[in-house]
Amino acid sequence: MRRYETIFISDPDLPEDNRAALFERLQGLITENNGYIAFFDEWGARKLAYEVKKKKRGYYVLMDFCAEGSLIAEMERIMRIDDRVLKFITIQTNEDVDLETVKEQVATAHAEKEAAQKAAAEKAEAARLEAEKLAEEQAAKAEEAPAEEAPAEEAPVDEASAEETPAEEAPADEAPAQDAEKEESTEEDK
Amino acid sequence: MAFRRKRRFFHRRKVCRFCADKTLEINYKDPRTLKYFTTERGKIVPRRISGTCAKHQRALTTAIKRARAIALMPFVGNTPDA
Ligand SMILES: [Zn+2]
Repeated sequence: MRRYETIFISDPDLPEDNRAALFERLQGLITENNGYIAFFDEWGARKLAYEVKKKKRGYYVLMDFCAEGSLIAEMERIMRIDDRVLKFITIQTNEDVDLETVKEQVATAHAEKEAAQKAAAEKAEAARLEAEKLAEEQAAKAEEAPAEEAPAEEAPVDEASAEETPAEEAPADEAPAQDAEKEESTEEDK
Repeated sequence: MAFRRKRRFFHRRKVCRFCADKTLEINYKDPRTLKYFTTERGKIVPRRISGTCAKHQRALTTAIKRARAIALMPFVGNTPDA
């Protein structure tokens, strides 16, 4: 079995359900012909280096799969006819692969990705707790300070502003988690 | 013969960037790296200019041509800020 990499550009103006149908068709074509899809990576809409079929943008998808060579001709024939596909390129990345080995690789890759996501989430949670703690300390300080100097009326005002801080800080801390998750795709998007 | 030796242009970096930096990969899916080895018009920079070694220049050429085929890089003109 051979391992291939196909990038195809689908029409960026396709309605969501139509695009899903196209993806399903291509995925089905591979699996029905005893192929195995290792990764189906949607890069999303990005600017084309030149106009293709009068379109300036295209929705990129990278398919990394294992299949017999005969499937490629059929798949390319279908993509050529289907006008939802603007352009495609298929490259053979490995002449002879063992399907079980590839499956293991994919499983490891998914596990690693999940672990990375989990780690990022934990980090964000820790940062959030830290921010909360800091805010509490500040709130405590704010309570102490006016008690000594200012009249008691001012205290609730300070308290309120101190309570606002964690709410503002928390989303900012969560952001890196999302970044790590989408790192690959965002890099390609820009 | 003497005038031939006269060095009119200063020496460009003579080392291949891919040999110098083993972590730098040549990949057709990465137009940002490839862009560095094309002119503003989109032509592939010859290795006598870039200093890339023969092996890597070959890989580079293939990668740039693939990137062009899938509209990640232009045949003519500027690479979009990908
Ligand atoms: Zn080299």
